[in-house]
Amino acid sequence: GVLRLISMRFCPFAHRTRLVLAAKGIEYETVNVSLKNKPEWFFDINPLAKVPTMQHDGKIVYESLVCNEYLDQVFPGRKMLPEDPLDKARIGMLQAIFDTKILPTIYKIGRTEGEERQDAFKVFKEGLSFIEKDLATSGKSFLGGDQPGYLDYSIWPWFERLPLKLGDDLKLQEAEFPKVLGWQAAMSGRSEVKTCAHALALYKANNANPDPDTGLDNSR
Amino acid sequence: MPSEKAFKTGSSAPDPPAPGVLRLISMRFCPFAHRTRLVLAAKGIEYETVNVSLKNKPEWFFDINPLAKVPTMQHDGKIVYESLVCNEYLDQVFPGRKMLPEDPLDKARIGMLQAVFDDKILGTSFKLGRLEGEERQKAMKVLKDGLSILEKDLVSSGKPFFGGDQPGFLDYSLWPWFERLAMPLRGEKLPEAELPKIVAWQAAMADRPEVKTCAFDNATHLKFVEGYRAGNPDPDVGLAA
Repeated sequence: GVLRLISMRFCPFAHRTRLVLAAKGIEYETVNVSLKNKPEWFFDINPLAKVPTMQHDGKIVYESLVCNEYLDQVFPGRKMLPEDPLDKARIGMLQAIFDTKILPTIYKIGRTEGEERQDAFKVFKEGLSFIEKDLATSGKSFLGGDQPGYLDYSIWPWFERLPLKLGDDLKLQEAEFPKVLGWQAAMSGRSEVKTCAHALALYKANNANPDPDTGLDNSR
Repeated sequence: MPSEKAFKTGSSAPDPPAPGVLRLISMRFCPFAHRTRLVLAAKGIEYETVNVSLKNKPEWFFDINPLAKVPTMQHDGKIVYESLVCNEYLDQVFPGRKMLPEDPLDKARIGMLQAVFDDKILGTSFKLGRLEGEERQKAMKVLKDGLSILEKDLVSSGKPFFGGDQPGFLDYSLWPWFERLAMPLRGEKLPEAELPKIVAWQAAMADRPEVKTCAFDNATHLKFVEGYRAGNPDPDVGLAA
């Protein structure tokens, strides 16, 4: 009856599932693994040996968005995914826009300098404008409506880490992205987001010196 | 009968589809669009096709789908894109055999097998055609690892298709790459002794009417891919001049 999440504390993909678990108030235990030096036993559970992976009464589920959909269907509490086919399709299409136009540019901003970085920021903002437009059209605070849903939790992990990528020099302007900035603030204030969050300083320390146990007591 | 020829950069936008008409924006050789053509055929859904060039995309396409990718569907003012999003939408909105299971764990199984395919088979099969020697051997091993996971699933279920007694969401999602497998395998067949269920699945799928409706033969696929490799893909391969 115990749900186990195999995870890594700094993985943004596992973060997606930690958010949904927290949002739905699901009890679970965590086993953290190193993704750089994967334990051999992990491949026996998930042949891709990726996090998040869930074990539940002999069942195994992996892939962050597959885990999230599974949790949404199996556990009670607020529904994260809409029922209506077109609403559901909207979620899938925005996810594709995030995956294609936003996520790669966030990584690029983090990796480049000078003009290349400025260019990446420009492309990032082009992608972000789709999210801005969607929120402006719906008039809602979250992509899931009045409360966060599947898509909000799916993209949040990268927005939590975004200030580190943008640094002091790149800034999203309120005039250009009022809804996205409002969304970011609203998400930051959510209890489930706070439960799962890491301080920016901790992310920074882990980035500088990648270690899945960054911030944990040395006696472990 | 409307032309199957691909709209290119500089072309005028076609009129929007008539009310009630489902339009598929596609490219005849795109494996992702192929996924959706298969589900449309399997569910017996009537639709019209507008083909576009993916190398020289018509500007009007970006107004419909900002990613300007196929498949894209237009239906009574609604727009849906991303092959698996299209397929799930069609499954929910149109009658006929259900492609996706209801049970959460069965649904999760589909998603996990898709991830294995994406990780070990999809990209690898694209690369294999171009690789030689040790690199090719390594890629073949990755491909076979992925195939053996799919094999194990069919052995466990004892069913001919990933969807059970009939093909479903996952069968149609994977099929386009298996139809094109002769190219990366350079004419070799998948080893029947190691992958008996997959080999049988391939034969069973090839025999399905909806698969035949959507299929191109190896020679036609090869002609397109050669053009693609040369930097000049011809979306109209096989059409009368």
